[in-house]
Amino acid sequence: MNSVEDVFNEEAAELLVTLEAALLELDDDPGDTESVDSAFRAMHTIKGSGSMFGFDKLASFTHHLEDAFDMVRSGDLVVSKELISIALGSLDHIRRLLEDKDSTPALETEGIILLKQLTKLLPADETLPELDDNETPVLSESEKIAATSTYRIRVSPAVDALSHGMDPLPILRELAELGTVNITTMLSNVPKLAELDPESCHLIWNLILTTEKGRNSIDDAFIFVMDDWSVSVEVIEEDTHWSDEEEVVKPLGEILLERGDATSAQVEEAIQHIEEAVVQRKRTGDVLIEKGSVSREQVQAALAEQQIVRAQSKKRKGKQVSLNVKVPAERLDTLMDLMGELVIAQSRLNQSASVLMDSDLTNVAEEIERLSTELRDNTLGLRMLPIGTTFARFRRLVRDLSNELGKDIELVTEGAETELDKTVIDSLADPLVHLIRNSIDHGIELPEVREAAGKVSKGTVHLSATYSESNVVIKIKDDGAGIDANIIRAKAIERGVLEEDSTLSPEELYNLVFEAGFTTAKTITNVSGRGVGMDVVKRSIEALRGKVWIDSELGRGSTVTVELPLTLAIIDGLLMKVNGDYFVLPLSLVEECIELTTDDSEKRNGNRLIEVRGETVPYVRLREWFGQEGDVPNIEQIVVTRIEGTRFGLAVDEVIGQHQTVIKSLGKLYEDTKGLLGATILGDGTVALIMDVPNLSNDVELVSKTIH
Amino acid sequence: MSIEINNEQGVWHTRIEGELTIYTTGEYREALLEKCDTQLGMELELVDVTEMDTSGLQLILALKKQLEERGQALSFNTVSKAVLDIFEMLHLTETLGVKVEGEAG
Repeated sequence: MNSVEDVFNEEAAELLVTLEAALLELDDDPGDTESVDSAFRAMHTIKGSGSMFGFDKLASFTHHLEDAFDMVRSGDLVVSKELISIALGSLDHIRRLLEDKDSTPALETEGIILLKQLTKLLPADETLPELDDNETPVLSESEKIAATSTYRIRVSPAVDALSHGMDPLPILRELAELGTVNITTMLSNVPKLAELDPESCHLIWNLILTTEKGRNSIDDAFIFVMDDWSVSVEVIEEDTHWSDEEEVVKPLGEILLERGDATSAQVEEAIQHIEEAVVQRKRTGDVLIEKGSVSREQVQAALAEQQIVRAQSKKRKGKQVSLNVKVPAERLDTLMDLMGELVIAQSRLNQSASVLMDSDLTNVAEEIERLSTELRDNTLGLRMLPIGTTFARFRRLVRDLSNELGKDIELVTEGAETELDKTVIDSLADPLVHLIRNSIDHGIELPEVREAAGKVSKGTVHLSATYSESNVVIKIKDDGAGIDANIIRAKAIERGVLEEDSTLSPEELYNLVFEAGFTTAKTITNVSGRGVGMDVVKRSIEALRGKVWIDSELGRGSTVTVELPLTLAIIDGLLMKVNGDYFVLPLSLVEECIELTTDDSEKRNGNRLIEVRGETVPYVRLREWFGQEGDVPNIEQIVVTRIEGTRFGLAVDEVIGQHQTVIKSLGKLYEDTKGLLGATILGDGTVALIMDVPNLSNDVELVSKTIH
Repeated sequence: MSIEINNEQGVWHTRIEGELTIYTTGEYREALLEKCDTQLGMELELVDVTEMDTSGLQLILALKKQLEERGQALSFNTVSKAVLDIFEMLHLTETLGVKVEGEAG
């Protein structure tokens, strides 16, 4: 309701995340001074902006916490488990204060208790100073983010500069003191001694200066020589220009051109010679020197510039977090929607262009196709977030849970930088929390039990994220007790999930834990074991078009694997046609396409079966499934898909080919239609339905069972 | 302020003391140029140079050019801090082949 408050809330929430991460880091490694500093800074800023915006209770509470950490910084207070626990508790308290600014008596009491606990930890002679409510903390110098820019400066003093008493060296020194500088001295104009007039200046300098002082201070250095010398100052890299992509470093030829050292014709020519040069392992610069187009110094100066820009943008990448632009998520969603429409319009354009056979139009269409593909990839990239943002939350979870359960558990994370679509990350957090809870509660044993089993008393939960083709694979692995397949079996039979004579492999048995109402925990704890959960986990992951399965080794631990598509917005699909209607299948599921002649089709038990290289594969005729009438072609196509190891075929009239598709939702009315993921619009405006094969195959199975 | 050029084992050993600035470069240029006609290389001893300006720097660069054109070399013996600072700031140590000792006096 109040934008200032919103900004503060948002900022404070981010700071709390930083603070939490730092505290957890300290919990693992109490000697980590960097984390102490980062915790202190976070508290300091929360306090500062809190009181600036008038949230005095919050500011005063945080102030005490900050003081305690100041003592840690100065070495007067040692980082202990208790301190971290109180700090984490205080952090939760700050969160609550943020949510509820008109604090209730209960909240106030909570705060007082925490502060009392905190005071107990402090050295006897140190008591927390009373907070002066009118105090307005000032942001320290280090908290201001200075904007640095890199300039290319070319200094070409007047020939008579020296005789006029204007020595360039002090000016260069003044510039060098502004920041980090790389100076290249151009010697080519210096004559040999015999021709030297000692009072003339023949030297030229190129500087690459990285400074936060700004353009004015550069100009100041040249103030007395401005009129006579030729000096050029250009910005070549600055804060506002960072990009999310790999750093953009200009090729040498381009830099030489920009600097005016080489003409474009010369560079063109050099680049044409590059092919042979590549064979001889030469570079653009060398080719240009050989051709006499530029001097060695010029190339060296340009090379230096290239390196500095590269280093500078790399450095900047490290700082990016603080320089990011915040965009509301719904704007990204809108952008994505527009993107989808553009892709569709573009394929219509393509289609029209190919029909009209107009070469100009085709050219434009191709150009637009290229651009929209790039635009699409970039738009998708905007929505990607590193999964590490959720990992941080799990460390707290593991810490709290293991304390609660009296277990000693370490969380090891890997691949925090793996990026996933924002929507996927958002909806993934809860299932992952559940899976980790399960590992901690069911998986990892109590320290005594572990020692008795000959394991280290400290259990490990290993959380990792990696890319695998167009998927992200998340693994939650524990070194706990593992799952006893026999217990699962017994339980399944007891619950009526499994028939007594059924034969299932251990893997199939493990995955029964994802069935509704299934738990093997002998005692119900606070954490898990009530049998609600794993089926919900499976459902939420499947809703993200992902898969989840579990593998285990008794006594050694279990691994839960979650496989998710990188993005939800676009799929690679196979376009098919049935009775004039279009359908799309996710290409990742398709194994092969085979022909089905009328003679082959024979009906068994209401189910259809076909032999694919010795294996019988059930298939469904989409025509029949959707109750479509009309002429059946003589030769139908069967698209064979593989879902979780079993094959399943879909008979269609015609397979058209690969088709990249923007998924559109079917809208409220049809949202829950089984067997359909959504719809897409084809180039000519026709709607194609996107099939949800796993769901469809389940339905088909059910129907055939009833017929049976 | 002085320049002293001696033939030491077939190399012109040139020792400059005091200022190497626009006030002295004219004079030094004459002295140095005289020796450039011979077939000997030159070694500069700049440890006692107290000040150098652009003119001084240019003199060294021009001398190097002159010598190299005739296939002779210019090398540096010891260099004072005042001179080394300038060479380093201008990224010339490598071009000139000036050895940067761990601790220059």
